[in-house]
Amino acid sequence: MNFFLHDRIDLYKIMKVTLSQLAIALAISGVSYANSSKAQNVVLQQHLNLSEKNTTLKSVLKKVSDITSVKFVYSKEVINADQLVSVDAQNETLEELLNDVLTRHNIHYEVVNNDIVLDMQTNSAAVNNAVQEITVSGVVKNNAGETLPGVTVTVKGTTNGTNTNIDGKYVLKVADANSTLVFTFIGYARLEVPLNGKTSLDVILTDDVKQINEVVVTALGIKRSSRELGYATQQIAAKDLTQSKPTNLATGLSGKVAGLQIIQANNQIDAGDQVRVVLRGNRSFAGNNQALLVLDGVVAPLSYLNSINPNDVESVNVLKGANAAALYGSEASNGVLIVTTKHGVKDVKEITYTNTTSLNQLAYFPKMQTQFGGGSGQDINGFPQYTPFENQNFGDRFDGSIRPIGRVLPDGSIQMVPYANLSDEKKKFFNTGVDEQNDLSFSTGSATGSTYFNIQRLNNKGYVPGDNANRTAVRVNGNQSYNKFKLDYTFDYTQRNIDKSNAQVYNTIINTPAEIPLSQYSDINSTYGNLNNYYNDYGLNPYFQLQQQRNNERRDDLLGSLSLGYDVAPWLNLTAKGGINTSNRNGKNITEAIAYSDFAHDSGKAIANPQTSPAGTTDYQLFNSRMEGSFLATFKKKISDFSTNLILGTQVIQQSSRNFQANTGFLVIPDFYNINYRSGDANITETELKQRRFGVFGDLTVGYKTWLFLHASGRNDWDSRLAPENRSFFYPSVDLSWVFTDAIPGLKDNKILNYGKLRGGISKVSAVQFDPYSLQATFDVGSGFPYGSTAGYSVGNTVYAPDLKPEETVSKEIGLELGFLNNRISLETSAYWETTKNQEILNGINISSATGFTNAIINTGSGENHGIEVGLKGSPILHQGGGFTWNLAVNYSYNQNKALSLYQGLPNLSIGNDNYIVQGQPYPVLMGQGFKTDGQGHTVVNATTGYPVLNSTNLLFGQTTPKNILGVTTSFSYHHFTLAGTAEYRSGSVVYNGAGSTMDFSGISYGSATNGRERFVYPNSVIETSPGVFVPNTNITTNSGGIDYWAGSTTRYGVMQNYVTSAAFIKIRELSLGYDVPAEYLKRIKFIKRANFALVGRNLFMFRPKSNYYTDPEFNNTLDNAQGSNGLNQTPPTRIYGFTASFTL
Amino acid sequence: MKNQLILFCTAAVFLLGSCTKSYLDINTNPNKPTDVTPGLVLTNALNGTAKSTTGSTDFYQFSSAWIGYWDYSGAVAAFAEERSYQFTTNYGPAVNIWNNLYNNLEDYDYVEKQGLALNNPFYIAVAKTMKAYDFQNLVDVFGNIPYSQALKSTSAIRPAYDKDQAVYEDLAKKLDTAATLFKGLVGKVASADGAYDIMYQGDASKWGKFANTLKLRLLLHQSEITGRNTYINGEIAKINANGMGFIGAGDGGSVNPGYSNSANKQNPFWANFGYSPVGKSAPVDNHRYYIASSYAISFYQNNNDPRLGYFFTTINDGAGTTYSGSPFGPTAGSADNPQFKSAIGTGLLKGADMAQPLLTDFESLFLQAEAAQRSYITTDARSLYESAVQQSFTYLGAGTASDYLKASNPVSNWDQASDKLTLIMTQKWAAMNGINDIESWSDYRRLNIPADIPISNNPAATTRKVPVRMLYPQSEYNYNPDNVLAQGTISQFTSRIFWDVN
Repeated sequence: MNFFLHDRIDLYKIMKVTLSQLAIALAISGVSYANSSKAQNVVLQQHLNLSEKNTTLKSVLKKVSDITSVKFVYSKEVINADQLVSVDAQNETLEELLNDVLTRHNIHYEVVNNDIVLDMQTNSAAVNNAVQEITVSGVVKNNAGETLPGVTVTVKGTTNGTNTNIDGKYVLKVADANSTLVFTFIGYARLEVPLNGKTSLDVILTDDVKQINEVVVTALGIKRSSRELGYATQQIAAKDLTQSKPTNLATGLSGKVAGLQIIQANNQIDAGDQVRVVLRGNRSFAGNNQALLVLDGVVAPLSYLNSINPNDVESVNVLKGANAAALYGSEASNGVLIVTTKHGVKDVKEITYTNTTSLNQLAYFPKMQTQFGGGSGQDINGFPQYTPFENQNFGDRFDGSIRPIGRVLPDGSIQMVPYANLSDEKKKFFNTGVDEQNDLSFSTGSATGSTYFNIQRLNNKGYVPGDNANRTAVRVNGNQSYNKFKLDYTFDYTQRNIDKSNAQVYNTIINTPAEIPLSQYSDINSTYGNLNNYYNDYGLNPYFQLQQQRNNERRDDLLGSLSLGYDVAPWLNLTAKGGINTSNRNGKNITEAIAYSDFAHDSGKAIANPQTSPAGTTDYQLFNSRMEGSFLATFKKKISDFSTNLILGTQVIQQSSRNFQANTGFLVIPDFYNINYRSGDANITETELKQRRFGVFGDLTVGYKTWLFLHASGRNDWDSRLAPENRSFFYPSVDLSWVFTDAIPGLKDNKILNYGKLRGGISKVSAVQFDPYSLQATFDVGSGFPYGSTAGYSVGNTVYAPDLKPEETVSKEIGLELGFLNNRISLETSAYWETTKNQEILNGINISSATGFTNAIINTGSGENHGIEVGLKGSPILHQGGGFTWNLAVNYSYNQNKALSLYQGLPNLSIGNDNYIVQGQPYPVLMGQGFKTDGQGHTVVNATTGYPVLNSTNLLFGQTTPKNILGVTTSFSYHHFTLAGTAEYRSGSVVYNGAGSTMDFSGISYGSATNGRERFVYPNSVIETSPGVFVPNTNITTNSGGIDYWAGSTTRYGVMQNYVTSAAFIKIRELSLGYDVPAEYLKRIKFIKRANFALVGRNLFMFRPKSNYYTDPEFNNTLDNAQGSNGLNQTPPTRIYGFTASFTL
Repeated sequence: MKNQLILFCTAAVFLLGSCTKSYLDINTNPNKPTDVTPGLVLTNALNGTAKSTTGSTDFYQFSSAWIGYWDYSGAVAAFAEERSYQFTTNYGPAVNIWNNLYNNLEDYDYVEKQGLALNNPFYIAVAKTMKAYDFQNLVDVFGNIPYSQALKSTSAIRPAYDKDQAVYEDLAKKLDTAATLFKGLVGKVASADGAYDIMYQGDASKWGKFANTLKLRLLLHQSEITGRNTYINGEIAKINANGMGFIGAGDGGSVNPGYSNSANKQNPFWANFGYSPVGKSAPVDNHRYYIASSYAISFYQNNNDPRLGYFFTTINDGAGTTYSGSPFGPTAGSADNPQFKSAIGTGLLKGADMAQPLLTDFESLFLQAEAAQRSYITTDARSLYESAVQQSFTYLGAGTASDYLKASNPVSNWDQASDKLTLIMTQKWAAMNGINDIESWSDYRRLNIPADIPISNNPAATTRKVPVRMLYPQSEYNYNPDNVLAQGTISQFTSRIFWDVN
C-alpha cells in the first residue's frame, strides 16, 4: 500500500489543527472531577444478612466482602483486626451494619472508589490538638482508571512514606493532619495534595505531560528538579517507549523528542546496530554529530541502542544541547541520551514475563515496468530483440507467447515460459521474518537496597531466506546502602549471533526480467535452478547466491559500572565511579567455490567463463573498549533563600580498539574454510588505536527560593591525541532558569497558567575527534608488496598537520516552558544558535592530487547552525474512572545550518556518497552530474541526438538533512483498552535514489517504459543554436528510446540528476492496541498480579512525494554525515506486525 | 570514620590511575611507520609506475579501441563512452591516470629529496628520470598540467597549471641532468642502492640510455611543430654530448619486483587482462571484455604477419582454429562474445611472472629510426627500423623477422615502401599493440598513421573523430577550480596538446 503525497505538505494546516485541539482541551477541562457522594450511596445501600458472634473483625469484614464484593482497606498497625466483634443483621443496609459494628469499636469508615477504608475514630479531645497523628488511606489510579501499584507516597518534608500495593491502595500514618502528601511514580506527573485533616485521599496521577516538578536524571545520574534546569531536556518514560514493543530502543524513540532525528539506515538482519542519532542537526562538517549514549552512567556506543532491552528501560532523558559537556567531557557536545534501566522497588517482589512476537514483511518495492522482458540487443531494423538468457530488460513487448528462456541444456531441452509479466515472483522470494522475544525479569527491594535482574532471548528469522540471528542478554542492576555508604552497580552482558547471506540478492531479484518464474529455481539442484542451467547468462541464481556468500558473526558486549558514594556530612558527598564497556566481534565471511560444467562453459554462457573460481574466507576480529574512572565531590548547602549545589570532579578515560583481519580468495579444498589451507599469500591487516583523556571540572548551581537558578560549569581536558603544547583546553558554560509563575506574585496559583519558566544559556565546547596518531605523515605498504622478499613502501596520500586543535562550538540557547491546567497541557520551546570553528576534517579535506596528496587532515573552516524546537503535550480528553482519555504529544523542530568558510577559500569539500560541504550552503549538500540548462529551467539537448547535454561541472541538488521534523504521538484509552500511535514527518532535504540508476540500466524501472521504448522529444528541452542562444525543442527526438538511452551512462543511469528526489515523508511509525486485564478477572488466577496484551504494528504506512517511487528516503548507504544516498544494497523497509503478552507475578 | 574516609580516597586515587605527564604520551603510531629509507620507496615507486601506466587498464581502456587494436565484447553492457567518444570529467581512465601518476610522482619526489639530503646522486637521477616519464604521460593525455607548483603538499594546495610545452622543455632539462648524473655513476652505484632498483638493478649505463631515449621520445613528439627543428637539434646535441646513447636491443626498461602467480602478486598487465591465479580456466573479466578488433586482425592477416598468433588467440580463447575480430563502433551483441572472437594473445600475456616493460627496446629502435629518418641523428634509419621489427618479434617470441622484412610487401619491406616515415610509423603501430597504447594514440594524433583506422559509427558518436585528449578530472574542478577553469573550456575533439598540429 503506497500513498503518495504532493511534494510540499502544508505545515501551517497541521499547526492549525493542533491549536484547535488545544482549545477543545481547555473547554472540557472540567470533566475530570468525579462526584464521590453518589458512589458512596450506591455502595452503602446494598442489603445483606449476616450473623456472627465473637468473631474476629478480620473474618467479619471478609464475610461482608464475600457477600457484597466491597473491599476493606486498613492498616494492621492502626486497626486491631483480631479484636472480637458480634453482628446480627437481617436485611440491613451495609451502612446500618457498619455503623453498628464499627462505630462501637471506635472505627471510622469511608467509601473510597467502591472500597471501604477504615481507621480509628479520633476522640474529640485529640482533634483540638494542633498536631494530630492520623492515618490516611486511599487509592491511586491513572487517568485510564487503572490502579497503580508501586506509587511512592510520602509526607512532604519527611522521610515518612510507603508504596501502594498491588491494588493501588495505600495506608499511611501521618503525624500532622495538615501536612501534604506527595505521590510520585515514573512516567506520571508528581502530585502534591494537602491533607487538611482528611483521612481518606484518592488521587489520580496524570500522565507525565512534562516533568515540571519532576525529578529529571541529568548528567552523571544527578537528579534535579526540572525547574532548576537552564537548558532543554526531554524525558520519555518507559511506557511511551515501549507502547509498540520495539525490539530496538532506537525505534522506540523516533518521533517522540523534538529535535531528535533517528535514522534507521538499513534493515538487514544485523542492521539494528546501524542507527544514526542526531540532536539539533549537524554542527561538524566531517566530525561526529551524533548524540552520546549513556547507559546507567556508562558511556556506550550508539549501536548499543540495539543491545538494550527496551523492557528494561525505566526512562530515557534527552539532553539536547552541549550543557552536559562539563560533566561528561566533550563527547557530550552533541547532546546526550541518558538511559536509565529499572531498579527494584522497595518491598515489592515482582516477576514479570513478557513475550513479544512480531512478523515483518518487505514493503514498498520500487515501482517497476511490467511491459517488456529480457533483452539487450536490437534487430537490423533497430527494434528491441528478445534474448532468452539476458538479464537486462530491453526485449520486445510482452505478448503472452510461449518462449524459451536460458540456453539449450545438454539433453537438447530448453525451458519454455509464457512471455508475460510475473511481478509477484519478486515478492515471493522473500519470507515473512519472525522476531520472537522472551523476557523474564525479577525485581525486589528493601530499605537498604534493591535488585533488578533480567534475562532476555530474542530470536530473529530474517525476511531473506536463511538469515537468522539471536540475542541473549543478562542484566543485573542494584544498589545497597551501608551506614553512610551507598554502592550502585550495573552489569549487562549481551551476546548476539548472526548467520546471514552477504550476497546482494535484493539487487538481483529486483532486476530480474519480469517473465522469469524465479520461485521455480528455489531448489538449486533442480534442472533449471542449478548452477549450469540457470537461465541468466550473467548472474547466479539468487537462491544459490544466498548459500554461496555467507557471514557468521558473534558479538559480545559487556558493560558494567560500580559506584561507591559516601556521605561525609549532610552537605558533602564523595563518590568514586568506574565504568567499562567492551565489545568484541568475531566473524567469518565465506564464499563457496564455483565450478561450471564443460558444457556450460563451452556453450558460451558468459558467467561460466571463468569456469572455476576458488573458495574464499575472511576471518575478522574487532575489539573495542572504553574505561572510565571519576571522582566527584558534591557540596549542598542552603543559606536562607539560597540553595547551592557544587560538584567538583576529575575524570580519566581510556579508549582502545584493535582490528584484525585475514583474508584469502584462494582456498584449496573447496568446502574447507580455514585460511591456512590456501594458495598464495593471505591478506592481513592489523590496526590498533589507543587514546587517553583526563579532565577536571566544576559545576555550580545556585538557586534563589524556588524560582531562580543559575548554573555554571567549567572543564579542562588534557587529550593524548594532540601535541603536548595543544593538549590542554578549557571550556565553560552558564545558564539561567527563571520560574516566573513563582517569581511574580500576580501569577501565583493561576488556574489556567500554573507553570511558566524562561531559560537561557551559553556554552562553549572544545572537542577532539581526530583519531590517535593524526599528527604525523606515514608510509603505506606499497600495493602488492611484499613480492616474495622484496618490500616496497609508499608515501601516504594524507597530509597531516602537527598542530591540530580541538573543534570549538559555541552554543546559545533560550527556552520557554509553560504548563496549563495543572500541567494537563504543557508547551516547551527552544531556540538555539551554534557556531563551530576549527572544524576537524577527520578523513582529511580533499585536495588536488597534483599536490602529491589526496587529502589533508587539518582544522579548517567554520559553520553555523540554528533552529527551533516546539514540544506540546496534553490530555485533551481526560475522564476519571476508566472512561475515555485522549493524550497527545506533538514535537516539531526546524533546523538550518550554513557552511561559512572552508580551507584557504576552497569552494567545497567532499565527505563521501556525493555529499559535499559547500561554502555558503547548508551542509552537507548533494552534488553530482546533471544536465545543462538554459538558465530558465529548460534542459539543453543535442541537436543531432536529441539527448540532453551534460553540464560540464557538478550540479548542486540540495541539502541531505531534513529542515523540518514533526512527530505526533497520541493515545486513546477507554477502560482497559489503549490505542496508541506515532507518526513522523520530515521534509526539506533531497535524496539520491541509486536504485533508480541500477534499474534504468537493467530496464526494469518504471520510468524506462513510460515512452514505450520509442524515441521521444526530451520534455521541456531547448537547443542551443549558438552559444547562449536557445530555441525550444519541439521535434528532435532522442536517437533511441530504448537501451541506448536508458542504459546510457551520459543520458540516464550515470547521471545523478535523474534520480534525485525530495526526501520528504510521513510515516506512521507505530500503532498499538493494548488491553490490561482487569484485576477482578485475575483474582481467580491467584498467582498473576497483572497481565496485559497488545497488538502492535510498526511502519505500517509511508507517504512520499510522487517523484520518489524508489524507496524509503530514510535509508542510506552509511551512518556518517553523508546522508541522502541509497541504492539496492539497502532492502526496502519492512512492515512489522506483532503481538505481545506480559504477565507479572 | 576517619579510616573510612582514608580508605575511600585511596580507592578513588587508585581508580583514577596515576595521571603523570607520560600518561598522555601514547600517541606513537603502532600501525604505520613515519620514517622509511628512500630505497624502499623507490622500489614501490617503480612498481607503481608499471601499475599506473603500461600495466594498467587505463592505458588501454579507450586508446586500444580508438587506434584499432582491440574492441569490446558483448559479454558486458558497458564501454558506451569509448564507443561514442563521449565522456565527462568523471571518466574513469582519465581520473585514474591523473590521480595515479601524481601519486606515483610524490613517491619519486620523496626519493629525490631524500637523495639530496643523503647526498646520493643515484636516487636523484632515477627520481628525475622517472618523474619525466610520468609527467610526459600526463602532458600527452591532458596538455597543460600543474607542474612547477605540483607536489608541494599544502604549501601549494591549489597548484597553478603550466603550459604543456614549458613542461616538456623542463623535462628535457631534467633528463639531461639525470643522464649526466648517471654518466658519473657508471660502475659506482652501491649494491645496497642497486638492490632497491627493480628495473636496472643499479646499472647506471642502462639508466643513462633510458633517460636519453625518453628525451628522444619527448623531442620526436614535437617534430611536426613548424620551426621546432632548431630546438630539437640543439637538444639532440646535448644527448650526444653525454655519450650514454639510447636503449638498444636487449636494453629495454622493464620492472619486476618478483611477480608471481598468486593473488595481488601477478604482473599488473597479466592481472588486468589475463587470468586469475587459478589459471586458464579463470580468465579475469577484462580478458573477456577486451577482444580483438577486426581492423587489427585484418592488418596482421593481410600482411602474413607471424605476430598475429602472439598478439591474439584464436577464437574462444585459443580453443578455436580461426582468428576473428569485431568492428569498432556498434553496440556489441552476443556475436561479439569471447567464444566467437579472438582474445589478447600469449605474446603479450607471457606469464603472471613476466616483467612489465615501461620502455621497450623496439620502441627505442623505432624512435631512433624515426629520428634518423628525420635526420636528427646520423645512424642508418633502415638498420634501426629492421632491428626494431626484429626486437618486436623477439619480444613476442615470434622468432626471426627476416622473412617478414624481405616479403614483397610495402607495409614491411624497406625497399618497397614509398614513404619511409609512414613505413616506420606503421610498423611501430603494429609493434606497440598492447605494449603502450597511449604512445600509439600520441603517434596517431601527431601523424594520423595508420590513416585508415576505423572511426566509430555508434549512433551516440555524434562527433566522428578520435578525441585528441582527455578532460581534466572532476576533482580538479572541485578542489582546484580557479586554475583548471583558467585553462578554458576543454573539448576532447578540439583542445589539442601543443605537439598535435596535424
